[in-house]
Amino acid sequence: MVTLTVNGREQRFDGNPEMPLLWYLRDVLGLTGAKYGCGMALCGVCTIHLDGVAMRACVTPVAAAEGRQVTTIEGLSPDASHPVQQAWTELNVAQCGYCQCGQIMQAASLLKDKPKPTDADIDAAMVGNLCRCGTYTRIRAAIHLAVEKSGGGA
Amino acid sequence: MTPDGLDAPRGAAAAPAEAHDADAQPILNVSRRAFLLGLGAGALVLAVAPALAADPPRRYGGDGMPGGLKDDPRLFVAIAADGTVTILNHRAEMGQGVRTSVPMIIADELEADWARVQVRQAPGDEARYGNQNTDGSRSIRHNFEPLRRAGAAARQMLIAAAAASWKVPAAEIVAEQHVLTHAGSGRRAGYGEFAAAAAALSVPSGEALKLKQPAQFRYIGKGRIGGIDNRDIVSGKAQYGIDTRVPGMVYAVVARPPVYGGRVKHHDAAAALKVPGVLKVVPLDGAPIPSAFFPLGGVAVVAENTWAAIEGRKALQIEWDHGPNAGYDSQRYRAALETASRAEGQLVYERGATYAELARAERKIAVEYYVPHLAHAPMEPPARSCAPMPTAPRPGPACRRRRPRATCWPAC
Repeated sequence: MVTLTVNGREQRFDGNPEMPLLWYLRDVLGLTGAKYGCGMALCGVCTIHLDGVAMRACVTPVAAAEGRQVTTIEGLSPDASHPVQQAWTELNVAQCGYCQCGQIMQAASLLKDKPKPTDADIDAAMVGNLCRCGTYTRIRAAIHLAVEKSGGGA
Repeated sequence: MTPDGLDAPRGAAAAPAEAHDADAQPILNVSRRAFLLGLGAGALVLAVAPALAADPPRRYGGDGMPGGLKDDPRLFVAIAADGTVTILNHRAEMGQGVRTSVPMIIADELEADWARVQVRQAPGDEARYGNQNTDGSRSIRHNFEPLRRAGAAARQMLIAAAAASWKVPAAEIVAEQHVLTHAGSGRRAGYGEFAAAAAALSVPSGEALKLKQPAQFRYIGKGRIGGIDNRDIVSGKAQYGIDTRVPGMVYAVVARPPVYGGRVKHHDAAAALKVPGVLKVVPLDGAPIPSAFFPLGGVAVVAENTWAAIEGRKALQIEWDHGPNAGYDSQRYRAALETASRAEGQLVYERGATYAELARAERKIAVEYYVPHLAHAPMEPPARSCAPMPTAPRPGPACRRRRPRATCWPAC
């Protein structure tokens, strides 16, 4: 039995604790915002937060979340109002959008760690999140806009 | 289809990317993709010659596609009494933004206030909506004018309804941003007020239909409208093919042949069936090559969740017959392509004296480009969800080439 908190709600899982969090979230809890891409932590579309830090859910076993806080895109804000979500909407970052939940979770984790990142900080933090549409320049611009929206990094 | 001497993968050449593109005369089938693939282009070019000689009338646009084009505003536009405009998008969204651009075109001609526009997705029904085969960069190219006509006709019907009610000439009524105005009498009304009356009128066509001048466009080409699904995308609510959830569903993954055209010679499911959560192992026949748009077959593992299905697939013991491409060698194929591309080509069509002019050039630049075979590798793995009929609520977008036996998401 694994006990964990997902988007503020306590959950108990009595299946195989080795199941990657991604499949627990998607297939058991029905939270499909975190996507499946490579299954090997190479693309970043499955990015979620574990105790506020970006993690790849496709290679993180449910057991690793025992007693911890899991946040998915569905729990980042109740109404798409997180500064990163607002910036993403305003700048039309998404093209197909499949990778963007992962991008947003990674960016939100970055801003928690570095409230006013440089371009180099952004590149270093976002390098593991791939986008086949090539929205990288808008992603970078949106992260800067999110900083402004959060009060200029204050 | 493959020119002699080219050691191409078997079955690949006969499935050009636009084989089902009914609007294309043979010459159009010598497409960018066919050239880049370097597969069978020569044979296609030869097939063009008679068509050029005869010079038949060509249908380049959507009128040549199965199902044709529709421009009836009653299909695409619904206006509620409160003025809410619902616009139907009949093309498939795949990241190209068509759920925004199709409604934008109609809204522009309709002079609808975008803030009061809702977008609804059409089911697959080509008899009703016209061609819905969303590929080939065709949605806007083919539908731009028909959709403009639909929007303009709806605008004119609203104007005609107001003119009848106000007893003023229609030409004196201006429709702008959801409001109908008659300057002479000072009358104003929202679109909702005349929606029902407008719907009962005949649809203007031909000379009577007045499209905007491009300079009058409000949304088209202005960059003012954001993606209609932005908010859903950034909050994780946008549903992709892989996100379909149906009560009681099970999940499957398929072990595909590692070589194109390969088949399962023998498989042992015992270990896979021992993986907790695995329900069933099902061998699948693949389409014979060239497989075109049909699946390749393999062995499917059905399970209670995706992870169990993936673990089950890992545990499968499969002996493959790699088929006619077992000996395919990409290095040898590249060498054959290079040899063929450097050999003198066969002239099929010439306008002007290109080669003579080139021969006289002072400076000549020769470049060779090579692109290897690459996996498409989309971020989202191809996915399909099906519910057996007839228990399914209603037939979804039906597979065109086969009698539907299941409701499927997403569209075929």
